[in-house]
Amino acid sequence: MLELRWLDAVVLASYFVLMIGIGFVAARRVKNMDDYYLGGRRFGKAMMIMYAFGVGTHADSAVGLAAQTYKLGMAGIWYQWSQLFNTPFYWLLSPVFRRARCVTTADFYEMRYGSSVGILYSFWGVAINFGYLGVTLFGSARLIEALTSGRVPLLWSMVLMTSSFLLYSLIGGMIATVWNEFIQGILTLIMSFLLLPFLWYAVGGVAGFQAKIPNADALFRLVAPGEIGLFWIFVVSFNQVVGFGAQPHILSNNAAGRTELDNRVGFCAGVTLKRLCSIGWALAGVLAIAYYGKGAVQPDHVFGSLIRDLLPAGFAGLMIACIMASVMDNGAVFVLTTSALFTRNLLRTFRGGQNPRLELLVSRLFSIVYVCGSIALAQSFQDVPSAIRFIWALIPMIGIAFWLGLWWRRANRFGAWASFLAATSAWAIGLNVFGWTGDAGLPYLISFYLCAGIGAGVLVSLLTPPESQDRLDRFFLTINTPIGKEDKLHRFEEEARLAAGVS
Amino acid sequence: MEPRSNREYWYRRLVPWKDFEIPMPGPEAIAGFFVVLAVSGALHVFVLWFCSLFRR
Repeated sequence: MLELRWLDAVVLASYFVLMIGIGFVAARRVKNMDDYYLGGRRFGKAMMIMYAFGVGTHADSAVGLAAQTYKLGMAGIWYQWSQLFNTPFYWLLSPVFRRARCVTTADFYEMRYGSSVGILYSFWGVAINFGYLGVTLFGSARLIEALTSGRVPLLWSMVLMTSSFLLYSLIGGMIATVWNEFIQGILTLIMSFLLLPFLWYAVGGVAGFQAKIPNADALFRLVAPGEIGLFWIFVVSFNQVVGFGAQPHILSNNAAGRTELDNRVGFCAGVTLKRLCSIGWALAGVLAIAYYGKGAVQPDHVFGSLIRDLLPAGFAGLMIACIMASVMDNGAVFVLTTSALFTRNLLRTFRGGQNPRLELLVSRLFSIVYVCGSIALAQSFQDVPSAIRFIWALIPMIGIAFWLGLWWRRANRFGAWASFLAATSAWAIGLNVFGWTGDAGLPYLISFYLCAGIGAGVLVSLLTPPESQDRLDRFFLTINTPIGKEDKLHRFEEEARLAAGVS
Repeated sequence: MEPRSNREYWYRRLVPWKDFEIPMPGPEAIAGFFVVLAVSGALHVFVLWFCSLFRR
């Protein structure tokens, strides 16, 4: 077991004091809801890069990827690389989120389709975030479990991790979160590569690996027949594109920057940085085959066991701080986006009217409920890759309506509901009736629910009345008008008022 | 223009392309798209090369 010496304890304690201190400093800058949820849209490129990197990168990514490459060889890298060739499209899409001038993604759906779809999204967005935090906590707790040879139980490590990020995100909102992302992003980078030189030396480099593993060829192919083939890669990549805009945190990822370019550079560079780290995690998993032998370690424990067995004792504090960092930055963002959905979109709709003080209070209370629910969900997962597949399926159900609404004027609220219901039903049928489970069944499952969802969305939209011309004009004008050119929007409002006969 | 066949009638009814709102990307969008594509491609090529080192 890793020994925590006094220096490690000092490093860990200083780290937590720093994070919480940032929360208190940031709290003085929070003046309104926009400050709390989007940091007042004032972050530059460097902050936005680390923010996007931090949100997209967490310990479960490393644990899940190392587990897959330990099982399948380098082909497992597609668990993180399925978005590699989607990133250029995110560059194109990024300004839409800023121009929409929304605080939450549910506002976006409401602006396009009306309140019923806004509410649908709010519920589903909260569910997605429960899933996200559950997966993140589960993966990280698995890592700590392996690091400590099971002496810190899953539940306890989850509780420890959540208390800290809950504290600083509740106090300082998005400003504290993005500042902390910067520090935590750097620590996550260290986590990704710290292990490799030690592992490389232990295995004996390329020659040592080839001497120990007779089928090195098969392990270093980027496809694994029957598991992760070209069909799998294509379908999973497409699935990620469909779900991209529907992830609750993506809006703040692409809207909290000072300019459109800051957002674009920040998001794409942050995501690319994550792909770079994925190479380190994937390599660790494959090299572990030579170090431990295939099947000698539980796949979820590979990354943690390597850290435990290879890193010198002095690195323990730093490594645990890195793991905590990767969970905390994500947890903080998920807490903020979930509480925003709950208070702004659900509470405001059902209660009627606005009460910023009450909303801020409820948002902070709901965050505690959210964290407890995510810990409960995390307890139900079997292994990290299956938890990742679960979250992959959850998002595109509502993402279909996002794309239809963004590109097609004829898409309406009935189509949005139909696409969601058809996709979720098809997912349930695919899993329970056709038995499409695991990596082998994944591409069939995704193809089935995406076809059902898109088909239903298009068909029902065509057979029912379109959204009003006014709503559509307002929506498309808004998402095509950069921030700072609001005169176009004011002119539109003026003309709409005149047309309605209001002076 | 009147549809020439039943098939064309249904095609026009079900696929009204005029309703699409795909915006024309500006110079910054096009340049950035290709830069990001090139970086992604370079990463992929790097991993392919790295894997080839391990194959016998």
